[in-house]
Amino acid sequence: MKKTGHIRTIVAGSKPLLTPECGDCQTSVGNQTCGI
Amino acid sequence: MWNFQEVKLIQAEDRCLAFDVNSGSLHELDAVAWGLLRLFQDSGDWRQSVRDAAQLYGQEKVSAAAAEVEALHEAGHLFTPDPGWERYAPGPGPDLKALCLNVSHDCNMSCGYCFVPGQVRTGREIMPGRVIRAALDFLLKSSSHRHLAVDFFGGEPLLNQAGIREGVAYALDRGPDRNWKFTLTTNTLLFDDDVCSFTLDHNFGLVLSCDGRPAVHDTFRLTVGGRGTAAVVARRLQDYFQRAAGQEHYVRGTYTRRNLDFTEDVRYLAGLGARSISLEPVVADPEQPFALHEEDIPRIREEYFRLARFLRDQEQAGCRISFYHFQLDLPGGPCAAKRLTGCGAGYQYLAVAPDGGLYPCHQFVGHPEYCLGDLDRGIKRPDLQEQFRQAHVFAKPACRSCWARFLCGGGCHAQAALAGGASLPGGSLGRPYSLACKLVQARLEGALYYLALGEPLQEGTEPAA
Repeated sequence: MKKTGHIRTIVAGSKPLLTPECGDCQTSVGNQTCGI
Repeated sequence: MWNFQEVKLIQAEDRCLAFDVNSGSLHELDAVAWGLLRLFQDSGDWRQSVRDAAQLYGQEKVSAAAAEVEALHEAGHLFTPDPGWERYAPGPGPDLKALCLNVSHDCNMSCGYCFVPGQVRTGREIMPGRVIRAALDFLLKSSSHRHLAVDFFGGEPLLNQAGIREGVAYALDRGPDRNWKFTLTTNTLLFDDDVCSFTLDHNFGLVLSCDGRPAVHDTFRLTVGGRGTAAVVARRLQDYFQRAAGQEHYVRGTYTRRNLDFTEDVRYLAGLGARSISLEPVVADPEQPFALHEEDIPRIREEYFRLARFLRDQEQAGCRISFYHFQLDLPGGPCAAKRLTGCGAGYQYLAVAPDGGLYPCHQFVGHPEYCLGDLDRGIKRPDLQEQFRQAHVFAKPACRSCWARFLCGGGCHAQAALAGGASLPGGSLGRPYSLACKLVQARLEGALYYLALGEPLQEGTEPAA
């Protein structure tokens, strides 16, 4: 973002819909990582 | 116009944050942007909010802030439209991929807040080898997954060390083409050098129970004879940290109404050498004096903010501590289906009781109305299993509009069904337990603040009011 801006983007979040569920992630969700 | 339900505003200590629900983006706002979005939150009228904000902060600043909001919206990072995931319908797969083996209902401790039903604890059952083998055969037969997980749980699982060793050997022998992940949850009293070597040899993940400061730990975590265990657990942990640096582990504790200053317990555990810590809210009958209540939530939220700052201060001093629930992967993370279905209890993950009974997860063991079947006959309650499969975020009215829905996954089924541990009438898989929701929301606010603190304030950005 601009240095003189009023808003600072800390994380530009995102896409996984395009990925079919592979099931390889660990069962326990925001703390989980993708199994791919 | 934009839907404000899709943005969560968070004031954490001296920082003002905006979390975009549908993109997972996180922003820090200065006083002008914060004031503008607060006005919009109250009125729902963007143009009017811009005019009102201009009266308060000046036309030039508000016009610039409004332009930034609109640019972020165009870029898909603020007021992002709903991604349409409500059309999600659970398919038949993926199938079973993890088992929790209750290898010992017996325990060498008698913790005051234990969630295991009393009749299960007093039964003191040990899972025999034939049940362990049958459970692993069931997993192999039920699952096409390459990655399979087995958690040895109790009670205290190390009261059945022979069973654990037999289970590991049997799994590796019968499933040599599978990638096995073993975990062990232990109170550490029996975690000696021999056990440590075994877990290292087989790449176990460990969950080591300790609540923190000795006075806190010894409030609840007592031997069967009523003696405190803090001193021996501290020694076990320190021995382990010296020996097994690098092994996947978490020191896992419980906080209750009696230690809402739990940052001090994280500080104590870090002092012992712990670098991976998880502290979680107690699951208890609301009538218990140590149970958490909704009136505690503001204090708990502030404590999570305090914990976030403590962890960042430690990092500045060269000591990185992983607090499990603060580890959010906003740019990546799991796929949509995983985000909507949560833990997978009941169909991807099952618990096995010592008698071979199958349950949706370890918290349902001892609740016969939730028994799904047994190892001899297989799943005998496919209707109940289907209820768990269908209990996704968009099937729960309370979750559909919750700002945390894609980070939470719909809440704990056991807490919903058992209404927080009290087995209250009206518990339902379709309705998350309200107190648990508020605790998760407060913790997620802390996690987002932790992320924000990892980024230094940018030059030229006014500190937020």
